[in-house]
Amino acid sequence: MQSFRAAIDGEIRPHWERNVPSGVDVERLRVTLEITFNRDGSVASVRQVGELAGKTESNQPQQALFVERAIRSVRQAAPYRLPAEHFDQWRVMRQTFSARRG
Amino acid sequence: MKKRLSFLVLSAAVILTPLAHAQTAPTAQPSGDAPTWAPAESPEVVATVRNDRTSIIVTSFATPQSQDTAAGSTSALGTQIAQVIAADLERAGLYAPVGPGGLRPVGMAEVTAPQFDSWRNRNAENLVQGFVRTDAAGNLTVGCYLYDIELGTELARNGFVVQARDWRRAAHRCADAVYSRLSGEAPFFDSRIAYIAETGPKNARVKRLAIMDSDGANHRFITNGQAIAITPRYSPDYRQIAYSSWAGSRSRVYVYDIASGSQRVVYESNNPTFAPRWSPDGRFLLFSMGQTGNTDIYRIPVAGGTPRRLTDAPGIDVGGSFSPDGTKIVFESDRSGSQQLYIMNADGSDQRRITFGGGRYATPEWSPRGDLIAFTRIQGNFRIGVMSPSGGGERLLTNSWQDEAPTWAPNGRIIQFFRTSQGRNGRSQIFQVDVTGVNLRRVPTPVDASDPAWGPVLP
Repeated sequence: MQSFRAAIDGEIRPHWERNVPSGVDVERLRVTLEITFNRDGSVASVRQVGELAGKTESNQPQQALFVERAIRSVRQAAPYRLPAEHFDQWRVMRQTFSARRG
Repeated sequence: MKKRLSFLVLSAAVILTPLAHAQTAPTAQPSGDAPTWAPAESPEVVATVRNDRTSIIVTSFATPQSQDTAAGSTSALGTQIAQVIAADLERAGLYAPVGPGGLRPVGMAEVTAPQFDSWRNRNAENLVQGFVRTDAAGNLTVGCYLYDIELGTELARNGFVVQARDWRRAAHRCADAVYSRLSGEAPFFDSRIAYIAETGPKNARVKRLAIMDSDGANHRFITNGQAIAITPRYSPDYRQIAYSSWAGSRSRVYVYDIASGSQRVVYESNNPTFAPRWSPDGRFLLFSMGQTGNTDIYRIPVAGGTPRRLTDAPGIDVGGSFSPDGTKIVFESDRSGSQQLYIMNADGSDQRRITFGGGRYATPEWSPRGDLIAFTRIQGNFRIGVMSPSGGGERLLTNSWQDEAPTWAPNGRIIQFFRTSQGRNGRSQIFQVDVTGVNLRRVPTPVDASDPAWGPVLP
């Protein structure tokens, strides 16, 4: 499972880095997505799980965009190179997306 | 074509947690070894993300057949509109536009059916295409389309009908649509800026009121310079500009009507009056007036009348700026011994200090979004900063010798101010900076410039 996580992280990360919106307080936002994969590593569906966390008045313009860009990152990273023989272990995964100001 | 901004770095974290029903039990491990996974405490994986600009391809806008208009042929306008859009997006600081120069032409059919594969090798995220055509009445219709190249999807489409001479406005509106869809922010390109144009030697400075589009186009001088003009502000409906003027010993608050080119005195006095600011409903002006060493903030109906004094503390109270809902006013006062920022209700009640940092604070300006107040921080040098209306979360955005007098873009994302360079030949010029502190750049003006005032998005 650790290796599946690392593999998915490695594929999503470069897209999320390019997609994360800019703006005041964007580093407070945090969203969890549930991804359902197909056996061939393509994405069957992505849905938001729970509320977007860290909303402030200043990041209001970026709130919907933050979720949209997280979903875009998941879709851009497909197809994922994951072992079909362990499909039952990675068929549905949850990921949390956040940004941090360096 | 990505440009890297050097002084802001975002880190993005991707945290993975296996879903409960997809988990399998961890395999028992020999003592001392780490488990193969830990669902509840999955480590936060942090990656450093540079605040790269998003690369956007902007093609020349197509035209069904080139026709002449009052502003040139539609085929020439197709390229000019794309150039204005690309320049707007570049100036916003978040994007690295590619084109329209150097890109292949796009035909009408392709505008709504983009050939994504032909753009994918350019490593761009988005594609802007469109068309321009004219009708018998001489109006232009500009269609504007935004696509996600990687996902092959349409993100936005808009159409604008303008008179041919207003073609730049159609381009700004298209750039606004692209910018809003990609940044989440409200539009701001289709707006104007008033400022004070300065010429002549420092001991005999001519200060004229001038206006221009947000990109510097359509520049014109409003006053002739016989009286000194300062601190302009657009009315909320864009029809008028309030400003202060001094001629001899007389000080006046004027309202200039843009359509008619006429102006009228709202208030005049032998005492210095300055910094007029509109109430959000456009019915009142705040201004400051000094009398025998005591300066206070007054409110007066725009039509004129008797000003009502809102502050009465000994010392200097100046520069009121309304909150967007009109209920509060932020202003500066030295009643504590040094210039600090205060907030009061619109009727002058409940005055309280919000700044307690070192140094002095001046020229507060409430964001049109309501969430922040911009100010000049004076501590050694003059810097532009923002803070919340409660006084918390202070962030300084610039660091030069003398930056002052912030004004907000209508969407509350960009701040303009004027920068004075040191020395006898020091110049005053307008600059702007993103509210996150990036993309500092000069706003070109034909002569030296001070006191910028960014108006709302054009109606």
